[in-house]
Amino acid sequence: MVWYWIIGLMYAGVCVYLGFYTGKKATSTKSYLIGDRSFGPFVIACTWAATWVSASCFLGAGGLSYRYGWPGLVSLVPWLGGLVFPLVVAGKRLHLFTDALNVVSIADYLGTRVDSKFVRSFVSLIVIGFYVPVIMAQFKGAGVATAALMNIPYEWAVLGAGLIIVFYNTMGGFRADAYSDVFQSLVMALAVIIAIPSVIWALGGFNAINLKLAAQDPGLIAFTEPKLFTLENQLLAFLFVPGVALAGPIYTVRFQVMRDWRILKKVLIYAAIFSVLFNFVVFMGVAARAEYGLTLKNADMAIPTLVMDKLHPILGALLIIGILAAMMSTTDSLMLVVGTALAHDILKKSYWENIEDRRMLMISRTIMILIGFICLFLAFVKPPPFLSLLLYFGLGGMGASFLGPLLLTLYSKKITKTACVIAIPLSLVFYIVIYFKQFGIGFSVWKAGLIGMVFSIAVTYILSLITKQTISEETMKKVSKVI
Amino acid sequence: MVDPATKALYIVIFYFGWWALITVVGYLFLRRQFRNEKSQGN
Repeated sequence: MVWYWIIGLMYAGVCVYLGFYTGKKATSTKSYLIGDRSFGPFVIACTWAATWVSASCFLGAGGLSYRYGWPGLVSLVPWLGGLVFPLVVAGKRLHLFTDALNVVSIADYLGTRVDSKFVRSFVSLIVIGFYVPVIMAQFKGAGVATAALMNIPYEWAVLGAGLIIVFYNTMGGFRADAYSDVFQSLVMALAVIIAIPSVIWALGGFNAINLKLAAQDPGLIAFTEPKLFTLENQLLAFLFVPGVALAGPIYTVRFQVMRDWRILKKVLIYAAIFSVLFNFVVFMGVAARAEYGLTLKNADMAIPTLVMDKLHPILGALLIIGILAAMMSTTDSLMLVVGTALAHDILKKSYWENIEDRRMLMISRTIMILIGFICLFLAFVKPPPFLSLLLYFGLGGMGASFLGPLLLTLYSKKITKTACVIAIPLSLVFYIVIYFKQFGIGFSVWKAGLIGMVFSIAVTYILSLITKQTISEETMKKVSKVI
Repeated sequence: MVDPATKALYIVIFYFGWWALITVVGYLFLRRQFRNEKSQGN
C-alpha cells in the first residue's frame, strides 16, 4: 500500500504543479480558453487520444469485458474509427473556420457561422446538459480508482481526485488541460505497456487465460454475444461512434486550438498509437473474468482487483494511476468545454460582449470552480452503475442534436440560418422521444443516436433547400475564405 | 474446431488490424488534402 500512496502522491504533485505553471501563462480569456492556439502535433495527439479514452473505457468497458469476455474488446474496435474520422473530415475545415470567424468553441462556431445567437446559446445549453452527467460519471470513476489505490472511502477519493482536477483546470484553463493530457497519456501508455504482459505472465500465459474462459463459457471468446454486444450493435457502433466523435465538442475543439492544420498527419499517427494502447487495457477485464469467474460483486472493480491481487505494488500503482489519468484527462476537458459554453458562449457572446477581458477571465475561472463543485456534489448523491451507458446517452444526444448543422456548414454555403435554428432543437426532441418511447421496436443508445444523427443531417439539408439564406454578407465573405 | 487461444488471437489480430487499416486510410486522405492545397498554391 505504501507504493500506491507514493506513486499516487507523486502523480497528484505533478498535476498541481501543472496547475501553477499553466496558471501563470493564462493572462487573457483567449489564452485561458484556447491556449493561444499554439499547440503542436504531439500535444494535440496526446490531448485528442487521452480525452477520447475515458475512465468509462478503463473502468466501465473493463467491467463489461469482465462480464462478457472478448466481445468487450471487440466493442472498442469502432472507437478507433471514431478517432480518425473527425480528423480527416473536420480537422482542416474547422481549424480554418476558427481563424476566419474568430471563434473559440463548437457552439461559438455554429452560432457565428449561421449568424444566430439562438444557435450559439442553444448548442451551449445542450453541451452543458449532456456533459454535466458525464462529468459526474467521470468523478465516480475517479472515486472508484482512487479508493482502490489509497484504500480510502469512496467519498474521500472522489473529493481528493475531484479537487485536483478543479484546481489545475481553474488555474490554467485549456493549457492545463493540454499539458496534463500529455502527462496522463504518457502515464497511461507506460501502465498498459508494462501491466498487460505482466498480467498475462502472472496468470500462466495467454493460452491458460483462454482455456479458463472457455471452461466457464465458450461464448466469452467470440466477436459478439447475444445480449449487449450483438452483431447488430457492434455494426451500428461503426457508424455511431465516428458521428458522435465529430459532434463531440470536447474532441473537435482540439482542431480549433492547434497551431496549423498541416500538423494533422502527425497528429493522426501519434493519436492512433496512443489510443490503440489505451483501449487494449480492456483485456485486463477479460483476464479478471478468467481468474475470478463471476465472483466479483462490482464489475467496475474487476481491473483494480486483478491489478492489486496479481501485480507487483509498483506496477499495480502505475496501472491504477493510469486509470485515474484516463478519468482525469477526459473530465478536465469536459469541465473546460462546459465552462467555455457558459462563460464565453452564453454570458459573453449573448449578454456582456463589451466586458473587460480581465473581468471575463475571472468569471471564467469562477464558473469553472462552480461546475466542478456541482458535479462533485452530484457524484456524491447517486453514482450510476455502469459508466459506459451513461456516457453513450450523452454522446448520442450531442450527435443527434447538431451533427447535421456542424458537418454541412463545414462543406456547404447553402446551409441556411433558418434550417439550423429549426433542425437543432427538432433533432434533440426527436432523439429523446425515440430513445425513451421506444415505440415497441427497442432502440438501443447506439440505434437511437445513429437514427438521430441521420435525422439531423437530413432535416438540416432539406430545410436548407426550402428556406432562404439569411446569413449576413459579412459572415458569408468570411465563409468564402474557407469554402 | 479452433482452440480457445487461437480464437482469442483472431480477435486481437482483428483489433490491431482494424486499427492499422483505419490509420492508413485516414493518413492517405489527409495527404490528399495536403496535396490539393499545394496544387492550388495556397
